[in-house]
Amino acid sequence: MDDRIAYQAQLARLADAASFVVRSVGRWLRQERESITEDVVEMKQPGDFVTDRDRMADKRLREELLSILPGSGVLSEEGKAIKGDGFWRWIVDPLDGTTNYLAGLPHWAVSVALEDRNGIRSGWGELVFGIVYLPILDRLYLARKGHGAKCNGKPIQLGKPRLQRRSTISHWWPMSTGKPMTGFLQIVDSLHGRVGGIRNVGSPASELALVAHGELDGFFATDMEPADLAAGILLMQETGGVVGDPWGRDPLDSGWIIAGSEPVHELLRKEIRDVFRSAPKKKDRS
Amino acid sequence: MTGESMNWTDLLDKVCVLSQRAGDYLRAERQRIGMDRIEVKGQGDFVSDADRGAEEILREGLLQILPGSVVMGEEGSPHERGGEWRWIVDPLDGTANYLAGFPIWAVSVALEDRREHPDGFGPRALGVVHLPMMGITWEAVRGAGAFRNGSRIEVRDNLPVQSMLLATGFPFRTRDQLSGYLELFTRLYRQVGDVRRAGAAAADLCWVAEGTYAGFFEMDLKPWDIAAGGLIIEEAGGVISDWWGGDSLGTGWVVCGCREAYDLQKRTIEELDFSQPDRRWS
Repeated sequence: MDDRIAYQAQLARLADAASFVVRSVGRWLRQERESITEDVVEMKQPGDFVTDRDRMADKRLREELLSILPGSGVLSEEGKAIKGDGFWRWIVDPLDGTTNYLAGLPHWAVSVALEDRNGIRSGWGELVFGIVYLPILDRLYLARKGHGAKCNGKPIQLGKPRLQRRSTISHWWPMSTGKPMTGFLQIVDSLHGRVGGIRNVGSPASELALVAHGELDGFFATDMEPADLAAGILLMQETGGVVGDPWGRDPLDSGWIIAGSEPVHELLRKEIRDVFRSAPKKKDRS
Repeated sequence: MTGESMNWTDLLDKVCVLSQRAGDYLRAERQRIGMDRIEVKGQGDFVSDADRGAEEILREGLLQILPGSVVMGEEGSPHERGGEWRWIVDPLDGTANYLAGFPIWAVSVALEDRREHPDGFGPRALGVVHLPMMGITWEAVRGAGAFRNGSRIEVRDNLPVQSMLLATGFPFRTRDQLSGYLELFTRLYRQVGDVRRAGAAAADLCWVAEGTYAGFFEMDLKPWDIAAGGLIIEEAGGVISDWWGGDSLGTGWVVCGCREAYDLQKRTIEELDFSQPDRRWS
């Protein structure tokens, strides 16, 4: 029992320390945004720009997260993975929504989750807390496993679902413009008129946080990286939302995600399964 | 009053202040009426109340700012056609976002010079788009450039196509047009960097004007969605028209962007040979 209390106290301290780090890196990114010129923007592929600041934010996060939890591992969207001693691992997206960041749109985020990997050899451990910070809106979302979720220190709850025809659903377009794209167009077509609005916000970590906070009613996407999702998944779970893969796999493995209140989640799950008949193959990305 | 005798700087300042006042009112209303209350009362009712309240603030203020002018607005007078100077206003663009609490919704005000165009749309002389939740005000006076919170803005030229970020809205009012729209969407999406949908056309237009988006296209918008943002785009060096090259306000089918993005979208629209809608605004 004492061990459990000590464990929870340690997690609460780590969550506070990590929140401080995430907030300061987010504010730094916001300040840096103004100094970004076009020549530092290097293109990996269309729709996937990576900036200098992304790398620098990643470096700062690594250094500071490793200093508050020495020996921990890191799985980041940006740099290479660090294995660590196998007990703890940070899952980091230093800049979620790079295109928005570059373009000057308000929805981009720094996202960090901590995974307890004690006794785990492969696959995913338990996500113990997740942080999503939106610097332009100055909102820090923090979810702790079993302890609820907060926005800037105030508890948030998903609340009663809105009527379906009033709900706003956001989604991400698939990377491939072939068959998956046709499928997504079919889903969007089918949702039109049945829901209140469909959005493309362009930052999955932000979108999951906004669903958890009730500003959006649902989110669905494929081709997601684990770092896009980890913190947001915990936020959804801790606010009473439903989050998952359309075929019941772990979204961190499949890259597919549906998030929303129970009825919205069910609506989206059905739509996706109607269009994509079979589940694409699962892989272990942990 | 003649255009030459107007003090445009003074007029613009007054319109900006008024738009911000309408925005503050909407913001306060949204906070005052919590979500629970909205469910009880019915969301549609609440929005029309807030909408009407904000339009009243605008109407009263604008008629004071420019005596003898008339106001065309979604709530009170969608078909107002008299007068030499006509305000075209949308007190709340992006109502779904406003209700949901998603911070992208706008107050949009334009002034149209009808002295030589009593029947169709005259040139827009002034435009203001205000985003209360983001603290952003975009503004333009014809011939004097476009500004965001006081700083000059310009469209972003010379972007490679695969780096362009476009914005759009899906045709939820015109379901029979959906298949053509989806084809257009797919053809553009395959070429550009990405496409966003934020759900407030007036704001989308201004994000084109400041180079955030390279371009924007949507079917079946209303004159008050477009009038202010359209002028701001032109004053920022961008191009805007309807899908057949006419004034965007006539059909409300809008295509705009920096020159390259406009050409790309317009060319793709032409490939698909859309037929012009019968209804025209004036």
